[in-house]
Parts: sequence; structure tokens; C-alpha cells
Amino acid sequence: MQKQNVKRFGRVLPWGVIAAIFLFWMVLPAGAAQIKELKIGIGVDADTLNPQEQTTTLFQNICDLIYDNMYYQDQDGNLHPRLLSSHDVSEDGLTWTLHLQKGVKFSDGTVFNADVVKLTWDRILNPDMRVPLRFAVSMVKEAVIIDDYTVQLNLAYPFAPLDATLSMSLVSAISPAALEKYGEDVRQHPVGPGPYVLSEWVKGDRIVLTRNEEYWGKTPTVDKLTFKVIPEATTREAMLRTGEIDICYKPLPSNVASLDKMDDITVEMPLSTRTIFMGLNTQKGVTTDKKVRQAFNYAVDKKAIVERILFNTAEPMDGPVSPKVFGYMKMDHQYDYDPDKASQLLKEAGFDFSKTISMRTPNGRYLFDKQVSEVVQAYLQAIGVKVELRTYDWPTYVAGLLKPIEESELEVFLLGWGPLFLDADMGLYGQFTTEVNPPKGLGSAFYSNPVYDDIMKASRKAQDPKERLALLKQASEMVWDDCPWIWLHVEKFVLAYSSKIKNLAVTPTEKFFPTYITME
Amino acid sequence: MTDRKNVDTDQNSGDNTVSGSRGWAKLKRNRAALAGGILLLIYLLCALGAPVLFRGDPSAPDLMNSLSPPSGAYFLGTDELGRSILGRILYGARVSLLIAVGVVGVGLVIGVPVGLVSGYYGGKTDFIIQRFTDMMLAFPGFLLALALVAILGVGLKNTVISIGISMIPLYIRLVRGCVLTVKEEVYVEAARACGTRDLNIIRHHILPNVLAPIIIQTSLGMGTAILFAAGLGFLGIGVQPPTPEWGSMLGSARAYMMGKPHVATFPGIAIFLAVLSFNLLGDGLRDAFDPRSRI
Repeated sequence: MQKQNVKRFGRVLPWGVIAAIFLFWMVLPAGAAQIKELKIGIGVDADTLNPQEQTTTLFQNICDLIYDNMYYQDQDGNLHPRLLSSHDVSEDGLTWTLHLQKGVKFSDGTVFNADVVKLTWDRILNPDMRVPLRFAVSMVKEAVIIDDYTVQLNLAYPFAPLDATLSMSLVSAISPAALEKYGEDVRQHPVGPGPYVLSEWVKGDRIVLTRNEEYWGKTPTVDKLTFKVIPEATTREAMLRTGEIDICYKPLPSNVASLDKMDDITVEMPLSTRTIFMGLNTQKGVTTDKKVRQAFNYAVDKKAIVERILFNTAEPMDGPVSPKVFGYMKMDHQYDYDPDKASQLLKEAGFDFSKTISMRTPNGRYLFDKQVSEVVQAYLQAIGVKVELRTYDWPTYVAGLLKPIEESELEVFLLGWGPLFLDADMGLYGQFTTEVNPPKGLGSAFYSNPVYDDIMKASRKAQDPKERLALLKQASEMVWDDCPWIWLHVEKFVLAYSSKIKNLAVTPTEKFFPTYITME
Repeated sequence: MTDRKNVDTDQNSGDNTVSGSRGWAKLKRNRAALAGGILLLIYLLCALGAPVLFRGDPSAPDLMNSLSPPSGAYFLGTDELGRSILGRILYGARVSLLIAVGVVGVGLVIGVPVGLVSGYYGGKTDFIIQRFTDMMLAFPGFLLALALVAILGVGLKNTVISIGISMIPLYIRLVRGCVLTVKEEVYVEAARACGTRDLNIIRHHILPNVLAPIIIQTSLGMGTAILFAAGLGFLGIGVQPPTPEWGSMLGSARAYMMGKPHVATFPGIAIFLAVLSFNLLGDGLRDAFDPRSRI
């Protein structure tokens, strides 16, 4: 009898084990989400959650959670497959073949395939659509469907960093069914294939995302993400201290040190791609003289600004782009603080000290922007240059930047430029080529140098990274010497959060992904 | 706001000088007003004597000494750019005094004549002026000043003009109300009967008898002007940096409240005391010279 039982048990055991494993496997994905809710304090509410329309990094970040990305670019600039599994580039660099991930569905059930990607590109390239960042993909002529999961992009000219460009939220796909249902109002009703779904949006108060149960990738660990709008940075900090929120987006630089001292708060601040500079009009006014522009660079103590005004939430620029991007090189020659040399250069340039230069600054757009401008003004006044400073609200300020040279009143102006993927092209091409002089682009220093333009164009054609790097270096050195900017600093992206949170992915493009965090 | 029904200048309509000396005696007995007067005197001293009281440039940054707490070298500490807060408050007093005088000047120069004409002539002129005043009074004063700054642009001059314009309707209403009472007086009727021209009647008989409420409103208006200018400065659309201005000092200091409260505290106290001085004095003046009015 006992023997029989043992025998029977022996026969049942393997099946039991298999069943147990199966059950465990079935239950695991749901069990993996140990975290019920994560509250994130942000400063402003979103205007649109249409990834093609969005220009603010924070809301592109939220779009990424809803729509996922074609490629994901990590902290070190490596690309990881997401909705694209891979791509091929033709030898002439003009044809890019994109291979799509199979088995992906939007949260409304629509299948993600070549039709969807083609529709997305058609929308991006349609001049009637509002796509403020279209310039980033202006080389793409058209998208052609090859088969259900293959799309071909035909380019007008070769563009080597297009793969990194595909990590931008700009090219994320919206569900065609949602587009049909809501029309352009889809900006209020986003539907994507990403790890999260928009479940509630109370304007001016909160954006709530819940886990997409049908997500094709690894199941997110957090059930619900609540983005709470708290305009005052000091209030956000106080709420983090008291545990009312778990993550505080961009606390004030002046309080970073005290937050960092707290045991239960982690402050992370990776160097960003955003460079802050004083643009100098190279085609109008006193700053047309290269010596004057160089003098201004020597006159400003950038290290002191970073230490005393920004509390080390930035690093002085030592090349024309952020150290985080491909193509960055530290320049051999540095414009270290040297007021005597500055005065000497001004003398050589025959500078007219009786003239008053106008300096413009936004107030509150970048980390302590007004204070930085005030200090730069004082540094220039210290070498005898008369400077009048004016602050502007952001929309008026931007309108002033976009005027063509004939109407432009710009002389010296503070601005930031933050490339959305880790490549020097957006900085070196997007700010200094003749093509981007206003009103066509935002190269408001009106830097125009035919030799430089040729180098940058060649760099876009170069498929070999080494060759590209050499060209970018050449361009960097040229523009660094010509000084269309007072090279100020590279900002850090500051995020303060509860120390219980582990594995939060924070990127140099000022994004963070709480998708797979764990909590202690 | 002024309620013209309650404005009554009976007291002053008779023998002005007697009432004046009585008023002064009353004012001197009013302790609050006295305190206001003393505060105002200190404020004026700071404003006018700033270059003597503080040697050095209040706008020159010294980054290495930024955000220093109050000490022997820096009596009230330094701000985020290492500038002496004491120096900036003293020079800021000049700026705010300039604004206060300018604003009240705009209000007086435009508001008083228009109010006199409106009240004296009545009829259609009065109707048109009053409807226009209604329109302006429909906006809260600060909002009107904000809107005007948006149109005119930032800076000291535009700050004065914007706040000044927002104060004009108050003067128009106040003066008109007083004129309505005074013009019915026997001596005005007598002057008219003698064939005195309107302009002379207004200048010699009416204006002197409506002066008391105007002076009171001027004192109170200066306090409001300082507060409005500080509000605009706080929002970054008033007087431009690096000019020391109390409101913009407070605005920048907001970011350092947590760790360095002294940066925000002292400009705040300066605004508080200056506005308080004008208000105490204004109240005292009203109690002394115009006890039945409620401004």
C-alpha cells in the first residue's frame, strides 16, 4: 500500500512541479509590481501629449512613458532596440531601412506595424501639421512601406546621426484608431503602445498614468505614476522632505546641498546636454569684431559663476558642446578669467567705450538665469564696457530671438540649448551654420562662416564615426576660436527623490524613467 | 477706494487757518501718526543720505562673499551676488521714494484738474469723465498697473507711469466729490455773482478748500505706490536689474529662503516700514484735518 502510494506520488510529482512553475509564471508579472503609486512633483502642466507637438523635455518624458520610443538611448549614448528592432543603412547613406518590433499592440488594441510608422512619418513631414521640431528630421524625404514590419526612409542628404535621432519622442507613433476617434484632439487623449496609459488629467493639478497591462515589454514595477503640478520649487522640496511626494523635479540649486545632506533623500544630478551661453550678435553692433567677442570671454569668470551662483549644479564649458554628446572634445585653448587680457583685446580692437550695449535675459527659464546675466553684466562693466540689462517674459523673449538680421535688436543675450539626443550635430549644426540663422532657425548669434558650413555638411555625410569625429573636432575648434558666444556652462539635470527608490534611470537629456524602479 | 458720499470738507470750508492750526495740534497728539512721521523721517534720511551712509557701489557683485550672514563687515549680510544688503536697501529707498513721488505726481497732475472740471461743470462733461473713471475703477489697481506694464514695457519710467495711471481715477473721484460740496457754498455763489471767471473760482475758491483730502490721499497713495512697485519688481517686470529695488530684491531672495532667510527678511522689513510710515501718517492727517471722511 505504502509502496503504491510512493509510486503514485513519484508519478504525480513531476506534473505537480510543472504545474507549480506554470502557476508561478502566470502570477509573476502581476506580482512583480510591488509599488502601488509613485508621486512626482513637477513645476508646470503639459500643454499637449502629442509627441509630434511637444517641445518641453518633461512632457516628452511623459510621452515616452505612454508611447515608448523607437530606440532608447541610455546614459552613455548607446542605443537599445524598443519599437525598432534594428535598421540598415545603404552605402550612400540615403536609404534607411527600419525593422519593426513584432507583436506590439497599442493600449487600445490596434496593432503596431509598418502602416502606423508610415502614417507617423507622413504626419511629421506634412507641412500643415504643427511640428516645432521638424528641423531635426528635415533630411527625411518620405517613408515607404516595404512589408508589414519594414519601413524604408528615403533621405534628401545623408545624415549619420539619424539612428540617435530615432530615439527622440518626436518620432513616436500615436494609435491610428485614436487619431480617427479624436482627430487632433488626440493631444488630450494620448494612446500609445508604451508601458503606461493616461488614466486621468486634471488640468493644472495632476497627470495620472497607470500601468499598461498589455505592454509588450517587461512589466513595469509601479502601478500608478502621479505627476503633481506644484509650481513653487520650494514647495516641491518641502513636500519631498515631508514625504508627500516621492520625486521632486528640478529643486532649486541653492537648496541642493541641504537636500543632499538628508539621509532619506537622494539627489542625482547627471551632466545634461544643455549648454547655457551669452549669444553675441556676429553681424550687427560692437560684437561683430572677433577680438571683442574673445575679450568678453576672457572678462567673465565662469568658474565663479558655477560655484557661487549655481552651487555646482553646472560645469563651465570647455568646448562648444556638452561633454555628454558624441563629438565633444575639450578644447586645447581655454578662455580662463583674465580681465587684463580682455582689456588688452578691447584696446586692440579700438573698442568704443562710450557706447552702451544692451543685454537681454529671460527670468526663470534656466537655472538662476537672471542672476547669471547680472553677474556677466558686472564682469563686462568691470572692464569698462557699459551694459544695460533687461529681463523679458519667455514668449516675448523667444519672439525677439527669431527676427531676421535686418530687424534683430539682439546684441548680447542669454540662452540655453539642449540637444535632445547625445550627438554634437544638434549643437554645432543647429546653432552655428548659416542655414539656421533666424528666422529659419534659432542660431541667434547669426554666425555665418562658409568654411564651417562645408565642414558640418561633410560631417553629416560621413558614415565612419572616426571620420565624423575628426570633422566635428575641426568645426568645434573653428567656432570656439570665433566666439559667437560667451561660453558659460553646461547645466546638470537635478532630480531629488526618496532614498527608498532604487534603479531610477536618469538620462543626460533631462529625462527619467521610473518604469522599473524597486523600493526598499 | 473713496466713497464720495462720505467725503465731507465742511470743517475746512470756513476759516481755513484756524482749522489748520487746530489740525496740527491734533496731529501732534496722535501717537500713531507721530510714529509714522518719525519712520518717514528715517526713511527720507536713508533715501537722501544713501551715498553718505553707504560708501561703495550697491550693484557691484562680489561673488566670493555671496550669501554671507550679517556680520561686522556686512551689517545686514550679502545677497546671492555678494552685494551688501544694507547698501541695496539704502539705495533701494531712493528708488522707491522716486517711484512714490513720481506715481503720486502723475495722479495729482492729471487726477486733480480732471476731478475739478468734472465736479465744477457737471452735466455731460461730468458724465463722460465719470464713466471713463468707472471703467478704470473696474480693474483692481494692481491688475491695471500690470496690464499697463505689459503694454508699455518694463523699467523705472514705465513702472512710474503704469502705477501713476492706475491711481488717477482715485484722485478724480475724490476731488470731484469734494468739489460737489464746496461749489454749493455761499462764497462760491458770491464769486459767481460778482462775475468771476470759472477758472479763477476753481483756482482761488474751490481748490484751496479741497486740499485737505488730497493731501491725505497723497500720503496714503505713496504707501500704495511703494507696495505696487515692489509687487512689480517681485514679479521681475518692474525696475530692471541691477538697480537696487526692494521688490526685486525680495523676488530674487525667494530662492534662498530655506537656507539664508536674511536675504529676504531685510528687504521685506524695509517695504513694511516704509508703507507703514505713510499709512500711519495718512491716517493721522485724516483724523486731524478731515475727521468725518473715510478714505
